[in-house]
Amino acid sequence: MIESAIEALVIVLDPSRIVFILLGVMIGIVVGILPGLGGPVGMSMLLPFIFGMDPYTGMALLIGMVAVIHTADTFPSVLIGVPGSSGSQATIMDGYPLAKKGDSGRALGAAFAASLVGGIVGAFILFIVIPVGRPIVLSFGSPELFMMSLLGISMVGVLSGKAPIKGIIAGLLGMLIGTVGGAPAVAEYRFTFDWIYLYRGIPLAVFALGLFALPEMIDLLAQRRTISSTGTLKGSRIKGIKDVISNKWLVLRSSALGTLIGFVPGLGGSVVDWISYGVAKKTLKNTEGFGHGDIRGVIAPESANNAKEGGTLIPTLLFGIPGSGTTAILLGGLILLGVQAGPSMLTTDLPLTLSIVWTLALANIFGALLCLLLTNQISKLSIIKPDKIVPFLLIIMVVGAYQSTRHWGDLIVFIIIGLVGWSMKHLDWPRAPLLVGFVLALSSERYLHLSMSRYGYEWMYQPTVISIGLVIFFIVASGLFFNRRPKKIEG
Amino acid sequence: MTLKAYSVIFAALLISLFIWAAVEAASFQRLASYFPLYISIFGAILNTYILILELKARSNSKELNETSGGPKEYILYMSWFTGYFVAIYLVGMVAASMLFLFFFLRYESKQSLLFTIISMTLVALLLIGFSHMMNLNYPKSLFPILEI
Repeated sequence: MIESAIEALVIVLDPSRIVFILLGVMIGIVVGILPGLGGPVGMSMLLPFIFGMDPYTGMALLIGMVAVIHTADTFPSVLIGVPGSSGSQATIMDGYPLAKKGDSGRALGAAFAASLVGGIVGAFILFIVIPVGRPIVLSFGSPELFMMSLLGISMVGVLSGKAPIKGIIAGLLGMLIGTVGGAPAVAEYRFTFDWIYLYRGIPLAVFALGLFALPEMIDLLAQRRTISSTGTLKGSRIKGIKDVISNKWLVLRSSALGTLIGFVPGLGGSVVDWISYGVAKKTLKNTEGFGHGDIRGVIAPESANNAKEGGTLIPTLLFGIPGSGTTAILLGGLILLGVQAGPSMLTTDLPLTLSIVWTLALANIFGALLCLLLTNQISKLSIIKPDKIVPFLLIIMVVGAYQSTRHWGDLIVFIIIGLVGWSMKHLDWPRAPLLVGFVLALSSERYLHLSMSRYGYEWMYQPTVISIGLVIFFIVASGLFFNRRPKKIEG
Repeated sequence: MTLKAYSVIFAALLISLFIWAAVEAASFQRLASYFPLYISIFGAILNTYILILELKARSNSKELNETSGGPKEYILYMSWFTGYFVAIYLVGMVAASMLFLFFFLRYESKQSLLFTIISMTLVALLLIGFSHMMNLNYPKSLFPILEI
């Protein structure tokens, strides 16, 4: 194994492949910075170009791009409070408040350093797990996957701040909106108003942009304030890097958690940052600053979302089970390159598998360093007056929203969700649970249906299901208990 | 109107939405109905509880606009955004973005003509460039003759 790893490293370090890794990294940074574009968009853009390449070079380009999306997507999350991609939603919770305080440089520095470590941990765990991955992946059935979805949803209790019931309602509303479109179990289209656009459901990018971005743009203009409410930049990226070093155990723990969650097919990367954020908030001390600009609220999700990429590749490469839209397209890329994902990735194609591990690690290093170099320049966005920057941001958002399905419905839904988000923001309804509910609605329903069809009610008595259930109970109960404020509605 | 009044209206609208969704979900095939049905019922119950608490809560006389900018500003900027979307519908993405940038930067941001023209040119180049390089699609004009 070690010999194969060295052989793969030599292949990856070939100058022509390094060039393709760097090219992938730069494309990944652009895709990550532009809100609304994500891994699937980036992958589908590059797919036509890898045709005819050798598998190592093709994978260098694709993995180089995928590896850094969750590094660069931190820029919009921190600077404008808009998730650059689905994996950076939780970063907004504390990253954006830090930017408002003028600490965007610190937040970005911490995020990139955490992403770097997270990406390398993910690649390392992928390397370790390769020989022993098969039994672990196969041990997860639909009941466990359903419970993992519920675990993600249970984070609404943590994310709701001082209004847990409003948070639960927002989560339920998100789940309800997530059921729009085709039902997973039967041929039935729900809540579509006979509008073809809604038959495939509301795209996540449009939903997230509308919920977080549009309200923020309106408020920035109406309140005539810069993103940094102090109008100055205080924090430096060095301070952020020091924060990561002083929170090294949080980084390692969140990275391991991110890899583990990425490892579970179907759960998707959209929830990894929320779970990591929630776990950090629950397990760390002095967390009252979470949601108001605690640097640990940036470090935890950013470590996890980069580490997730390593985890996601385990089922994708070893069993041909794509864990997300991005890896589904990656599978197509492997086929284009003449490689079949599956057990052969551990035998005849082992050098290719190991070259992917190295590419993942190198791309994370290149991506994080490039982002760190750009931090100070891009952070200055947060002190530009809103009437100078918002028109440009609005154009970027419209472009991003429209790429989801390239239908006018994208823009109409973007506006409607934007108005709902604006109302919620001003009436003190938490918006993050709405997004979590929306993201997990489809997988929850699908796995619940599969579990019920296959096991009846028996699935509820499986030891793994009970264990995950107890964790969920603990999270929800503690969220309700600690946030309890009798005789008073608090937002 | 006070913040409390808006909160009550919002909670009432949410209850209506959940009730409507429950009624609608009941008409779906059984396998497609149980998930949205139970979510809606649960949501409606919890929301009713919130509505009662909102009604019982001491009157919060704070105006909605006290929390941030005034209503005129919100209406103004929402109108700008609406105008941009209408322009996209009429003349397509690239031309609408140019028009939006020109009028917004000149008359709202009070930028110089030079800055405005440079911004418009750069954005147009980036939009067209990204469209070709990254295969991005933009909303088309209602009138194909205006399409850029």
